Amino acid sequence: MENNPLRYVDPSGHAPCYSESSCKQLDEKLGLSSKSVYETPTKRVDEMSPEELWNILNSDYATRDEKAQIMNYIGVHYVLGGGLIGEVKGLTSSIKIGIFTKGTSNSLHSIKGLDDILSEPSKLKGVKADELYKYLKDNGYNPQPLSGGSLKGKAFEDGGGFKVNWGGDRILQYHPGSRHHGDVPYYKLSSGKTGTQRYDMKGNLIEHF
Amino acid sequence: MELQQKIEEIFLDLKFEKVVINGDNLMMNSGIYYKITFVKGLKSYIIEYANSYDEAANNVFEDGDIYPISLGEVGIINKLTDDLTKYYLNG
Repeated sequence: MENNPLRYVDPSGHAPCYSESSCKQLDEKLGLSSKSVYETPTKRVDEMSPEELWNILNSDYATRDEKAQIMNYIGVHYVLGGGLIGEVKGLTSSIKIGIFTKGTSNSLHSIKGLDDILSEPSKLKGVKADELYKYLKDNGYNPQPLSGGSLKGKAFEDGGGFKVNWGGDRILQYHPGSRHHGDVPYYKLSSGKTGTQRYDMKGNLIEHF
Repeated sequence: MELQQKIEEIFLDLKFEKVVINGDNLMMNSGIYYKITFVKGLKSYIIEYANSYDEAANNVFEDGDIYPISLGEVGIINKLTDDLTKYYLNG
């Protein structure tokens, strides 16, 4: 909960617990049932399944702020991804939300940083460029327009690509495709360790040679 | 002459400098390093560029403009020449 209220759910609404044992003690003290989400006390909101989020939203032990954090998270990570259709009836009285996992960008949901994408590019499978762009922006990676050629400086919102450099020898790039004879947008991943790979928007490796 | 060689000639005609970094043949202009890569899966040639020597040495290249082989050899040469002149010369 500390420093990043969006990412963590504080089960007690009070001080955070930092170990499994201390959290279990807190559970016992609060009389939480064995089915409570606090069985995994250090679990982040973005690691929870839709069902777990649903349970918290419908619980009477989560605080209004906690529910608001989840709603905020869902708004960012599910609704825009088209994977969740929700009906929100206000945070102060009742919350009703229907969760549909079909079509959810679960891979984007499970990304834990850029190196995670690099080591497991399949996480880009089915991730739309606008979803990835938003993910990068929301998580402080500061995606930039491409820096050369006809797409130089062209904002993603205006049809340009975007890229993130990190670690000195790593780059993640979205390219909107050729201006000639049909667009084939793709992602490019490159690092000193992995070399260069390109993936189409379905997550298929694009053959180099 | 192979198309790749013809492309190299275009770079040289436009006063790009040929350099070798880590064994790779690159073209350089105004401190930016370029290479042309054929990507079979895209059936296209791609201009890749690195914005500094360090990036080039670390193989940090962005993909720039793309030239599908469906343009034909003459089409690729003409488009590439136009783009290099318009977008890539002098950064």
